[in-house]
Amino acid sequence: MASVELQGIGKRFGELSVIADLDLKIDEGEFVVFVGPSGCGKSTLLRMIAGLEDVSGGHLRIGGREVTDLDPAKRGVAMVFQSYALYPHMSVRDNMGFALSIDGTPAGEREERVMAAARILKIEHLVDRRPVHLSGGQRQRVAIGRAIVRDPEVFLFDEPLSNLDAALRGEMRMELARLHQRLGATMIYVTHDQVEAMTLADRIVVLDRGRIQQVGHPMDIYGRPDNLFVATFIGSPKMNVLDVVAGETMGGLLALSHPDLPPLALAVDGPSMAQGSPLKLGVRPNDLRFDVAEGGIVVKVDFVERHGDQTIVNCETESGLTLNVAIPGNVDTAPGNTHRLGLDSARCHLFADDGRLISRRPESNPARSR
Amino acid sequence: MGISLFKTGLLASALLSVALTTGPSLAATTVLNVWDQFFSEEPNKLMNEFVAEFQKAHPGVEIKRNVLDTDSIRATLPAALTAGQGPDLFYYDAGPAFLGPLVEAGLVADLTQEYAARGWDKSLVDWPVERVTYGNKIWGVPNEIEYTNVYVDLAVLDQLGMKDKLVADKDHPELLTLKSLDDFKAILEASKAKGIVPIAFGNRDPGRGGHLFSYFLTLTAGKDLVDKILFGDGRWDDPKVIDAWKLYKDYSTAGYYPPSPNAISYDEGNALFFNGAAATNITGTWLVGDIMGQVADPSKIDFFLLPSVSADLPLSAAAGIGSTFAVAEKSPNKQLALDFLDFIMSKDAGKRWLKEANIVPPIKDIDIKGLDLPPMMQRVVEGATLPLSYNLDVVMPAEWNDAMKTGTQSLLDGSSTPEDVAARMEQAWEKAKAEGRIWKAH
Amino acid sequence: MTERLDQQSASAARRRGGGRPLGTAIRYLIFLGPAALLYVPFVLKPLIETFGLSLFAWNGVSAERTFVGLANYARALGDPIFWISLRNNLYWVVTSIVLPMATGLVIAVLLSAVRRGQRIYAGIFFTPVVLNLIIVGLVWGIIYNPLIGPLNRLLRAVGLGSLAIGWLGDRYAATPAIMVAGAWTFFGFCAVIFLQGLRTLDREQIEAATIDGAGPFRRFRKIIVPALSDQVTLLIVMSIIGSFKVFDIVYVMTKGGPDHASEVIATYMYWQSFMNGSLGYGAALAVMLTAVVAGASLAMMALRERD
Repeated sequence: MASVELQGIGKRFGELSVIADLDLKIDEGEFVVFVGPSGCGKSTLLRMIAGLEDVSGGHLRIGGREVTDLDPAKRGVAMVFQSYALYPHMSVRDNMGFALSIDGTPAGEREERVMAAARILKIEHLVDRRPVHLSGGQRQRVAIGRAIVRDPEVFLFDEPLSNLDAALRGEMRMELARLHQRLGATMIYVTHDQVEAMTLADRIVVLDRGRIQQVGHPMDIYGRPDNLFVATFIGSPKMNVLDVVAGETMGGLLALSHPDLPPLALAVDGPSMAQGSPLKLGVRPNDLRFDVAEGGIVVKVDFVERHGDQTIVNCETESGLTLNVAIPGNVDTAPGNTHRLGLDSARCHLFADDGRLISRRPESNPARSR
Repeated sequence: MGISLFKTGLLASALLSVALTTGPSLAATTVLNVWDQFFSEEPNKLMNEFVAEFQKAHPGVEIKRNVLDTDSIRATLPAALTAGQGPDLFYYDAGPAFLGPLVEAGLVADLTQEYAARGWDKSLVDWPVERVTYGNKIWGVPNEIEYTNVYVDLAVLDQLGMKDKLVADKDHPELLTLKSLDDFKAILEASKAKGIVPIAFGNRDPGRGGHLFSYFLTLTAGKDLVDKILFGDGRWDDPKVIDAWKLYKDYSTAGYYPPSPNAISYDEGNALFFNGAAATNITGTWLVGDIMGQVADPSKIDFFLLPSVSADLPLSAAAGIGSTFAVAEKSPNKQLALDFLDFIMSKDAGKRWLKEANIVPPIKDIDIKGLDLPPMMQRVVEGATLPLSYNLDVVMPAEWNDAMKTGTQSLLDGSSTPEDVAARMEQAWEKAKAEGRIWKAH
Repeated sequence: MTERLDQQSASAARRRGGGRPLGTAIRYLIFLGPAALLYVPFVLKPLIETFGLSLFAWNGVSAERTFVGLANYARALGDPIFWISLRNNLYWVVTSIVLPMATGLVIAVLLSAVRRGQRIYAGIFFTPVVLNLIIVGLVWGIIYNPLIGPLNRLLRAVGLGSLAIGWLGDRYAATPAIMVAGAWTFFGFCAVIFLQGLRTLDREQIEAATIDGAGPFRRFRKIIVPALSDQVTLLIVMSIIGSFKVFDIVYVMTKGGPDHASEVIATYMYWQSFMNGSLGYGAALAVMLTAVVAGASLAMMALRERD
């Protein structure tokens, strides 16, 4: 168990800089998830921590120890790969015990530790098999087991669940959460799946184009996005974004206009907006009220997704703007129906045209779990 | 597309060849297939000239040559003749290991009558004809007399101050020799002292060592003893045979050969000599053509014949005919084949073998005056009149050759003694003799 | 209704039952026919004829052949040159597995790290594979030449003059010297095969092993080599068969000499059949060679099946 500290970390491939001057501190025992679209640098960052990629600049410390130029094996990290990366010609037992056989751990102790890990993962009955005779989920457990056996200071996971089917993914997600609780180890987890990020992380690091967009507790990231990128990346279905134009500011309230919307004013602090500046208004699908009696935005239903616990209605305004609404439970509508959507200014986020945050949804301030 | 184009091409060429062969001469065309080994430039050219002239003189005759190297013709000719698909006329090793089995199998035409009918019995030299004689019948027409000799680089000899060692033979003043083998040793020693390879000898193909052995045996034993072994009660473990091997071995021990002769090919050995890196080269008259063609200044090269160990033996060398022409018994064109042989073995043709191909044909009384032969070639012709002995490999059975040739290699690396090799040769000889696989001319 | 159904299914069963054996036979014929068309006249028939020949004493031309039963086989067992040849073939097997495969593997691993021009380098290494063996023999003959050869010059230049021997003329060095030349014609092929195998290797396995603490050597031995087991099997089978069949390069470089020291079964067989006039004995050698090659191939396949 150790902290991980990234200070001014950069990565260049020739002229191309993929990560620049990145700072991050991960506490002991913390479960941190790197999330972001593909190409955002999350995997590169993880591989730099593992030592599989050279660091072009900056310092990397694990447990306070400088490891920037240290061999991967000497960093006290274990990694679980997307492809599982099991050694196909070795039994499960040998796969899990490979690192121990290299560092010279006596056979007896090796066997004990392998079997202990196998018990944790409930794969004791599989230890004599070869990977080719295992299912995807079993292989994933072996890959995790191989990491556990090494008793590392930091676990690194590189999209470990993305090759599993949905049901198995949910199950393994739970297992990983349980494992973290049980081991209390520092874990760094890379995914593009925001459900994994939201459910597993103590803290989420949202990355885009090699830069940290926001670091925080999952609910903070969800409820208090620092910018338009985070706001739209986290949350499913995606936050609706409307192009609005700034009007007058009066008494801390900024008037906003949009052809499809009734007049709207948002509380803002900070410098006043120039009248006529283009802005982005964000509202999550579950913050729109469906089918208000009067006023609101007139929309026509395009299609309806019924999830059982909730219904997502995809609508279109008169000017062709698409809006998603999420409604708990079921709702009686069909494509072609016309409805009115209620938009509450208190539930909106406001961003500048370049994505900077201007004003958050005020009352969203959920309790932190830690 | 590719295939159909290919097919079209094939069809077109097939039609074309039909069109060509169905011309007016079709009925008259007789094809004479000839397999020979004249792959060197000059003999090949001369053969082509002979073919062209013969065809011109014989309308309706087409001679098709198939030029093969020795190994290839040995590997393919027996099977081809047996299958009845061989040549009408072929040029093949004369010995009991090669022509012998073909004769026994009835695949070769008996030419005894032809010799009388065509006058070859008078026009050709006797001993080469004897080499193609089995059981008193003549089976071939030899076309070349060749014998072992010692080439010498006169420039090197001069540099060694040894030029005066070369003397004219008392009976054959045109031929050069030495007063004694000790003089040869003196030349070799002087050469060694100067860091010049004394004898350019490459024995990777052990047939080359075989030539040295045949030559040395001529010097130590003379033709009479060899005749006694071949046709009488002589033995290959005779002390004089062992002496020949000792001479061969002594030259090795004395450092007269290049380092590791077993690792040097014949051509590489010759190249040493051609480049002036060696004083002498013990090989045979067959090399004259190459010397003329490959040595920058051939006039600095001459050859001499080694004197025998004892004074009562005449000046001689190990001689052979290499290969012989022979006619296939199954050929439908025997007379045509013989006509062609008659043509290329005439006195006029003989002059051209000498002049254009550096080959000494076994044709009597060729007047070389006016041929303007190079001096070295004149000497080769003169030497052919000596009482020559046997270049053994061609006249011997296969297992004897193997014992002798491997002997040339194992003596050099010390894994055999002269006595061992002689014993193995005698053993092989007795076996072949018992099985009737030896050459019996008469 | 039920009856009709039964009838239908019965006739369907008949169709299937009656059709299957015939259909299968036709299918076998279609798949095996073309191969058999070539195999029978060009492989099976000569093989049987060769075996027939091996039972006779025959010089290849004589009208009479003497039936000798298995005497030619017995002769081989008592023939020291046969045993030298067989031993040399076994040396070839070992060397051609070790030398070109090891070199090829190292080159393939190095090449796999090359990002640009990988194909060009692979092509350069592959060149000796397509060279005519006659040319290879001549080139290496010059390299080994004791007088002008670069090898001995090099040895002398670095003070190892005592090692500068007449390679191809030395009864102990000739076979190894030819084998090096032979390896040179094969390592590029091994490299290309291994390179292809490495392309399918999961990079993450190597990374996992790196993190597990395996150094380059152990990664090579424990991860890369086992991952190439298919390629290794293929090349071993090719090496074994090629080593027993080896002929050209030996023939060109030494003709089996000096004193039969570098003889292999194929050159000895050729020599006995065509140069020594013992076609029956040569045929017996050919049959034994075929048996050894077939046996080795079957054994390799059996080993592979078991795995």
